[in-house]
Amino acid sequence: MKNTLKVLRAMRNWSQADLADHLDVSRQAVNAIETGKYDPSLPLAFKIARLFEMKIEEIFDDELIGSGND
Amino acid sequence: MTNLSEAEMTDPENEPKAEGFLRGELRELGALFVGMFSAGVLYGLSKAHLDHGGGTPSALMIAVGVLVIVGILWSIRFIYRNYKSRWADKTGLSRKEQLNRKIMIACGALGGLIGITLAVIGLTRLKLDKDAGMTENISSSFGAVLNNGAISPIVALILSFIWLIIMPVISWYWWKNAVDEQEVSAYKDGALWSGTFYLFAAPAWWMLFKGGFLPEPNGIGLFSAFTLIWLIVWGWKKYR
Repeated sequence: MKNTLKVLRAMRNWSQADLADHLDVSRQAVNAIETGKYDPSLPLAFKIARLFEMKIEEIFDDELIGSGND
Repeated sequence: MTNLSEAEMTDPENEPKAEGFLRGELRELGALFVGMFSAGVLYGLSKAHLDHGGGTPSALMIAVGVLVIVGILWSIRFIYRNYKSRWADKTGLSRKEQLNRKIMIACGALGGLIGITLAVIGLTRLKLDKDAGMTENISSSFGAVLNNGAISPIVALILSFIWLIIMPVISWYWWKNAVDEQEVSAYKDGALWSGTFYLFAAPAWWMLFKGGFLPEPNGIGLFSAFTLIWLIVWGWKKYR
């Protein structure tokens, strides 16, 4: 799943480890989410959204939005 | 509230690998194998020496033994230095991951200590048996733990205690404090693959044994394969 996590992290000048600490997960988890290899659970997605003060759909894109299916 | 354009979305297809992490892990794994191989050679040399009477070792044997010990010490030093440098890196490890690593290192150290202790006990016992003129012995070595040979009751009790009491406590602490959902997912995938392997391999081996094609199914062999598959899938899913 596409996401803006890396951009949001860069805007705060955080390393993957910094973000991992904020989310209480491992750096591998952050990397896996950023690269789209792992889709976070709903609780973790909400945690990410709250951390960046955004809506979940502003951070994660299921690639259907804007493709003419809505 | 920040609004990001589609172009700013992270595209998984164009993302780099995990910041050189895997390379460091592989280097450490390689050094670990060098250390384990060296330890195996040292054990084999010692056992062969005892099997041939156990007299004063030759200069060549001593030289090989020293080289092997240097190999073991080198691998320990390499792993420590490599790990320390990665730890100090600014993109290093989160608190959770540091705890995870500490627990894994502690488990590895415990396993290494058990292996060394069993090897020393086994070799000492072999020497005592040889000195007493015994040709058969109940081995206490780690080799005997992994084959169908008998082991001494005290070693069996100690290993069972570690496996049934110590390991579950460590696992529970690790599960509650150091594991995140991505690792849980990796473990579940590992369990699925290894369980599926066991589900098909064990009955097939049993049938082939009954048909006279294979020797009797080896429980510890199946367990080792089951564990190895779980480990490989977990490592792949967690670190890829």
